[in-house]
Amino acid sequence: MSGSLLIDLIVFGLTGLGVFFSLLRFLMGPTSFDRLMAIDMMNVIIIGLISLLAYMFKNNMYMDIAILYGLLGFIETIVFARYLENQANTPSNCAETKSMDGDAK
Amino acid sequence: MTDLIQQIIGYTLTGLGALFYFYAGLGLLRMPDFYTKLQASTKATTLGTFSVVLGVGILNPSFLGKSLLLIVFVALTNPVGSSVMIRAAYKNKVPVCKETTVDEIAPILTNQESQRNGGENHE
Repeated sequence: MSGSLLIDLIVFGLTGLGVFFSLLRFLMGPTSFDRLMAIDMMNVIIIGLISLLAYMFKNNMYMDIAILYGLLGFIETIVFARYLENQANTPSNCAETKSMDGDAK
Repeated sequence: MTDLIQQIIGYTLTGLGALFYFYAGLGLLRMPDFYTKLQASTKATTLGTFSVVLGVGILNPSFLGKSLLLIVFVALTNPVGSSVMIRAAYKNKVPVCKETTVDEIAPILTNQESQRNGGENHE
């Protein structure tokens, strides 16, 4: 039992270090895309952590929670990425339509 | 005996997955560029999630169906999210690092834009 406890400690320590590094990148990311990427990576690591909790607590409900958490994290990533992309595109599109109008006139 | 083999395989897979999570965090912290950081974090976390969830499913076989479902789900969604993020970053002109010399998508995009503009002019 002590051997399995040591293995659990190593596994949770390495996973927690991964979450800690992505939290550091979220705090000091130069652009907003770095922060978005750090959030996405944290979501994927937390899916693994929740399934580890399902094994530790021997409860089948945690796998459902992990699936639902992954779905919400995926939607969050897509929505934020599309928002930032459209934020970049809007002024250039306006400039293009203005220049095309000017050419037509 | 089968319990021992099952525990050995499960703990090995889980430890490998946790190691890949650690490597993904290290790559996210140390890589010089947005694109290399995204490649390191996405690939390593996908493999780590496969390994950890499969290890949990082998350690406790009553979780195996849901863990396989979770693996399929992560394999479908994680590359899509990374490709959407990298497209948004490329359209926002996030700078690349000094060592990057090849930009393969720029001539394709300029070709598409010139073809589109040419078609509009012909009309």
